[in-house]
Amino acid sequence: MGAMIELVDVVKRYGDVVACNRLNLAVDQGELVTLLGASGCGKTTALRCITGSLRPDGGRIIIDGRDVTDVPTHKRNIGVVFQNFALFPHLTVVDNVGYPLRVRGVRSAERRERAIEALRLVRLDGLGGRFPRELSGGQQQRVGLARAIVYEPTVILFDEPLSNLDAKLRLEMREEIASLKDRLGFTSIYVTHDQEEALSLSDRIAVMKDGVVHQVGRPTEIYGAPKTAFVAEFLGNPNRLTGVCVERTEDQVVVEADGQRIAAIAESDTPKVGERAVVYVRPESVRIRNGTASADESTLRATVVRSAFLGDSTEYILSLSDSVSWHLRLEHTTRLTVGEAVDLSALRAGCRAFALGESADDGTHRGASAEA
Amino acid sequence: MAVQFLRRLRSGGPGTSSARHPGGRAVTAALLVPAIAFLALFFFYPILITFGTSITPANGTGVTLEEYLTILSSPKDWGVIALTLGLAVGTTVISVLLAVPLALILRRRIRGHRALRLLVLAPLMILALVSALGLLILWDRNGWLNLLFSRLLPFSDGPLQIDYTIPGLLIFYTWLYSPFTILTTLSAVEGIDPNVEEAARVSGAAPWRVFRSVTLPLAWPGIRAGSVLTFLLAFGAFSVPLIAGGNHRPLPVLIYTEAAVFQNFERGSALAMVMAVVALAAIALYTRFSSKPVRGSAG
Amino acid sequence: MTAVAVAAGARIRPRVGPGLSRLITYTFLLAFVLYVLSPFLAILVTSIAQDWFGGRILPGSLTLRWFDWAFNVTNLPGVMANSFIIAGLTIAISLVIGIPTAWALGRRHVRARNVLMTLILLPKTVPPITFALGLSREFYSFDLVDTHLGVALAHTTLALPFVVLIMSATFAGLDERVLEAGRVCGGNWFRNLVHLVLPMAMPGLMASVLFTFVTSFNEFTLTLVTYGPDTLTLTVQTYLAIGDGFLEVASAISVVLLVPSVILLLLIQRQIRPENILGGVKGL
Ligand SMILES: Nc1ncnc2c1ncn2[C@@H]1O[C@H](COP(=O)(O)OP(=O)(O)OP(=O)(O)O)[C@@H](O)[C@H]1O
Ligand SMILES: Nc1ncnc2c1ncn2[C@@H]1O[C@H](COP(=O)(O)OP(=O)(O)OP(=O)(O)O)[C@@H](O)[C@H]1O
Ligand SMILES: [Mg+2]
Ligand SMILES: [Mg+2]
Repeated sequence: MGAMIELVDVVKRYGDVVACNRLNLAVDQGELVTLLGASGCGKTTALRCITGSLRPDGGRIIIDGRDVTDVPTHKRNIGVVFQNFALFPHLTVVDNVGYPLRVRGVRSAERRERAIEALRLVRLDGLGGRFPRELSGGQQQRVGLARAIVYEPTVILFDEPLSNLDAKLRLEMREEIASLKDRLGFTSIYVTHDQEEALSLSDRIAVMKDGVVHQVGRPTEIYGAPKTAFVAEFLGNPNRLTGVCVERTEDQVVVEADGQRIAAIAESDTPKVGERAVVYVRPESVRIRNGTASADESTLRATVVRSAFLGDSTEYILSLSDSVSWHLRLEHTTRLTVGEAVDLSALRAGCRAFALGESADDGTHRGASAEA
Repeated sequence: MAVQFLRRLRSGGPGTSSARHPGGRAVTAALLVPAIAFLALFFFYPILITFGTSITPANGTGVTLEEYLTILSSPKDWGVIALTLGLAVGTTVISVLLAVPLALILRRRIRGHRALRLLVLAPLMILALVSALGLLILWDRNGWLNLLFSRLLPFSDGPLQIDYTIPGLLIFYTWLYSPFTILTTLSAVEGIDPNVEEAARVSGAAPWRVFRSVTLPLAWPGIRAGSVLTFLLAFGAFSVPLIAGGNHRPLPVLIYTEAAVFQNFERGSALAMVMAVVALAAIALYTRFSSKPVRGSAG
Repeated sequence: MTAVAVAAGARIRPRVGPGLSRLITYTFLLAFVLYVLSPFLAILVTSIAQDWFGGRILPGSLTLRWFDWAFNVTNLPGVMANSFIIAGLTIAISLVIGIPTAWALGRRHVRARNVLMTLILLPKTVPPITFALGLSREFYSFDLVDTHLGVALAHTTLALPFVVLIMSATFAGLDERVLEAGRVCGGNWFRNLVHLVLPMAMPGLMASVLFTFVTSFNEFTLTLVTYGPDTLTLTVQTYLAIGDGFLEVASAISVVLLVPSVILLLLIQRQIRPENILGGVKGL
């Protein structure tokens, strides 16, 4: 099956900044691929290369088998949903949605019909006569969505479409986009830095950093089997422990830090014995030990530092050493008090070890957020 | 009304402050009195005098509309009104044609755009007479521009006569009064969200269509606001046509000549009143017919 | 991989469009720069030109004679003093009269404020020549012709609307909470005025002063109908010099006039927002 959108070695520089550094990505027909990455990693730049508003300094962009690198934006037949909605303020909702049809020479009656149909799809029936400023934020983004799907473009690009909406609305709109995609089957690239959004919405996720895609895969793959320290760090808000690799066998590596030992799954690129290493531990793989640990669990000692009540659960900040603190979410059935010493069990399947080579900063940078 | 339109533009909405201060209405009234009294004395009263003069017969007593009737029945005077309006409209149109591309270039913040912005302001700060003098020298039959043309166009027969002609006045007026249009157009164009134009492009609109259906309608309020000013200034221009108009005398020059040179105050005053009415009517029409711009014609 | 043959990291051939539009853009800008600057250049060269006839690109020789004439024959220092005195008076009168009204319009409940504002702005909407004749007659009967005060009063009709406009917007924009805090802290109204209102209103005040200065300094029509031998201003003097056909002397005077304008331009550039511009930089 041929890819619907393909980026081949796309390079884009702004002066000294390399926003896209030989970016490669292929999106299949009907697939939704998320570009996930921290602010400034080049997501918008990549998207703007696809729309044609930016001209890559190198590489090709292929849409539906056609090399569009030299095709101007308006001939690419792409739909875009913008972060700030970007509705035409001087046109009514119906005219906004009908605009792409209008520039395609669709007659007024049919245009209206199709615009109203698109508005119905995004559940905005009856608001066609309003101007964008008379709509709430959520409604405006629905209009943006309707405008992007009305002409059934080959692909639809989303640039953080939900980040200007409040939390509840964001959830609702996420569902909306997912169901629209199921019904209409469009191919899309979806930019976000919200990992939850990415995990729940995507067929595949491409994790980006500094203009390079680190890993592409299904959400479960990306989450469960991160290939680089950055990917492990970026998703799932993991706990982190830095130390030295002391043992490496067929199915596990053991890392020792401040007198504590932790076992992680062995991968092809796991650290060698004697090398500095960082272990990422999924919070859901950590529990308070009661009784003895099973063979595939490591035991760690910690002190409770702080607790935060979250409604359905409580989050505890635990200190493993002076410089390492973990967070752990517990149901109310277990209660810890601040100052209490506890034994933790970390499931090996939830731990990944990476060598701290020249890319040492991968871990240390982001680590701050996990330890906060 | 036009004036209200200007006021709304200028003050940026009703500056309502809910604060009710001590002293009540008496204090408010006292604060308002100086300005009102001043304008009554030095603006409205002079207009009244002008009006009074215009309806007083030359021998001194009674009331007559003779001067107005003379103006209305004189093709020459109609010609003057048409010339004045024509120059104002022409200047406004040329200014918009100059302002829009310039604004589209300056919004991109190319290198040196700050200096260019300052340059746009220059004609506003300099005495119109000085500018007119410079333009007269520049466009003189032996001036630089004619020297340039005579070298570039070897087949041209003799120097171009620009000074003291109607095209010359249009060139001068545009130089003097277009900055108003340029500045407001620039500010309007810079206020447009680039994503909105981007949205039009990805929707399939070619560049010219994006301009026509999105950029222009969104910039229109700014273009209109500045061009009203350009229109008003061109319509009321006095010093420039006085020294650079030659035989072409727009209303202000005619009014001044009648009153100061021929001492015919009655006719001068009547012409002044006609001018005031035409000015207000013209702005009212202008704002009315430009208030619904290219809107809706997204195609 | 698609069927499209792709050379990895292939160089992209330049598009013709951008290059051409770039050329057009810069040609347009260059033309604009020349268009704005050339009259100034023409004046500068004329003011020091000698033997500049018959299709020469530049004058045969240079001289400072015209400046000498301008200063001695036309009494430029005296004329310039008149211009500054009148501009100063105009600023004072406009502020004294305009600020109370602006305060009322900006901060107090005024009935019929729209009508009032329209009336106050009317002098900027009709060309000055329409009331200049009446004003001149009035001034003759009040003996205001050829007095600095008289010319300044005439100029104030044009400056006042602008001062009221800018200052009422400034006052309306004052942060009520800060003023409230001032009152709560027990400051009397004078202290509040000096320590709170004045600093906050400073930008508006500066804009008013600068624009009033420019209005008065450059006003031609209302000066022409109210001036006399003792109140000759730079504007009228320039006009007289041009009228006499002494373009070189007129150019020299113009160069002198350009100096304060350029200084002002640099001072004022930050104040110039379209809403201020619409208040009108120079008289109609
Ligand atoms: N017009 C520009 N000029 C110079 N540098 C730019 C420009 N646009 C983006 N950059 C830089 O390129 C890099 C990538 O920017 P981009 O907007 O693609 O990031 P992003 O991943 O979309 O970030 P965000 O999540 O904040 O939207 C950043 O370092 C940014 O500062
Ligand atoms: N100027 C207006 N004219 C007509 N209807 C309007 C106007 N402004 C808002 N509405 C309508 O009022 C309702 C509430 O709008 P509002 O903008 O307050 O929503 P909101 O709670 O802020 O939502 P959101 O989180 O989506 O921004 C919406 O149905 C909206 O369409
Ligand atoms: Mg972005
Ligand atoms: Mg809202």
